[in-house]
Amino acid sequence: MSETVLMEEMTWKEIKEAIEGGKDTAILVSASIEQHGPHLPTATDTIIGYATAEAVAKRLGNALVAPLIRPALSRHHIDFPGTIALRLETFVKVLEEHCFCLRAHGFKKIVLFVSHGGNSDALIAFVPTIAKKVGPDLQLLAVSPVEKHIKSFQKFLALKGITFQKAGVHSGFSETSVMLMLRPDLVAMDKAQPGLTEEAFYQPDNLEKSKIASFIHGVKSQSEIGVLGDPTGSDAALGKEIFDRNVNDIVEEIKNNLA
Amino acid sequence: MSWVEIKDAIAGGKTTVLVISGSIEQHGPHLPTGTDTFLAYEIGKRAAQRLGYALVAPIVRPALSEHHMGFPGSFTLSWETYRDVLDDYCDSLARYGFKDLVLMSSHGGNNAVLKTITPDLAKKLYGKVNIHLVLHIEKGMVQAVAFLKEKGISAEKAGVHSGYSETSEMLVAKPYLVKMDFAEQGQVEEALYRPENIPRFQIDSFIHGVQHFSKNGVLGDPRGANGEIGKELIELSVKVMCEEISKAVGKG
Repeated sequence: MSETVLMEEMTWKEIKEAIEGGKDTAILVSASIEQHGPHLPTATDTIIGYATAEAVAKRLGNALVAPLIRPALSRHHIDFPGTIALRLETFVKVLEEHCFCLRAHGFKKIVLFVSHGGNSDALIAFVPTIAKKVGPDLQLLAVSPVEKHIKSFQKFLALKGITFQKAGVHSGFSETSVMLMLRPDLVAMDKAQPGLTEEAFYQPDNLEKSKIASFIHGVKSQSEIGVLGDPTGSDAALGKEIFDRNVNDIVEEIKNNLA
Repeated sequence: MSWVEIKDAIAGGKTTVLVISGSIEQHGPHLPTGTDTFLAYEIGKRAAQRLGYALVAPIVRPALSEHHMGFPGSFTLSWETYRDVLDDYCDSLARYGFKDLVLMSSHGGNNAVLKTITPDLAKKLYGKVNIHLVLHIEKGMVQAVAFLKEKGISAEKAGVHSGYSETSEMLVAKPYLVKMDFAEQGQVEEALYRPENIPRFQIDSFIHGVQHFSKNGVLGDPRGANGEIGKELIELSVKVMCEEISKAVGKG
């Protein structure tokens, strides 16, 4: 029998036995349903989120993956058909109620991270409040803000001759390469076109400012096709390296922060 | 699909969107907690393809499964949060040019609340998109029970949760996630499954929790479940779904 760590694919008895057998950590990822340019599916962050959570859980060895939270915070993509956005209040309640359910089943720790940058600030802002509500029996840990991930793949891809503006932050070379590795059947490379490739937008010092501009003015004001970066020439082998590095970073951060 | 494909599909006449609620909840010792969600995708996709004018939104899950919380791996939203999630789905989908938005459920536990909240959701978006409620599963279940009876399968074996019927469907939708070795009989008291008693049975299981009726979480008897029968059951569901959607959106 396959050793799946995805709770959705397990029976209640398998989940019960896994928790009793020491898998006391649940991984709860917030993803999205939002446009990803003309070449990637709206479920991109969800697909990458599942794969990342699964890899992280297997590396940790004591963790199961809760159903991913999606849709989530994608208001800045709402001008593009297919995007589904939760309001902040709804998202926080959904997050909180997932944590209550995990507590009820006997998990001792919940590791929270995002596979979609739009959720990052809210997660950091509200995890302390949620932690207070779920009480001392359950330890909550929010890890790895997306900014760190972006800076990490920017540095890595730069060594391969890929500029920051090509690597991108949404449906660009980096994300498209990861999707080519995970779900090539859902990537339409013949439709991949460069979106916003203005160099200044992607400079590490400007990333925060650029992100806030996306949130406030909408991604459509920055790219008509919904691509921040340039996906042309994306490469599955590089995608695997980007993916593995992210998994490593998350696992390391968890190990450094969870007793 | 990409946003451009979705835009083109709507412009090309796919102006109905199916928003189906599933669940993440225990389904006995032999089926995964994602069962309702997997079946919602499977049946929703087939129905939309057959209708030719519909797209399927990401399945809404978790939803309302408080009555399964006695079993590890079940997730539930509070009904207020569930309503807010649907509200946000509708508000998002109303922007893209869909004419009809059909709320549905593949999990009986969502039905009562769906009936209660849909009028308000519909009123909010009046003039922007027509919101419909299609509760196909009750009608579908009556037909499934009649069909299985002809094959010699009793209503209590067919079951209402993880029994012969649902397990047979999963053998078609996700065979690699069905563990027939672990399939055990659950609650099979004949009287509970009589049509006139089903509403009472349902309400009691909501109030007292499914564990009150079945230690293993099964309502029915999945043993001997069969993919060939599952195919016919899925076809039956798709047929009922298509009929009910066509009627709701005025294309029947």
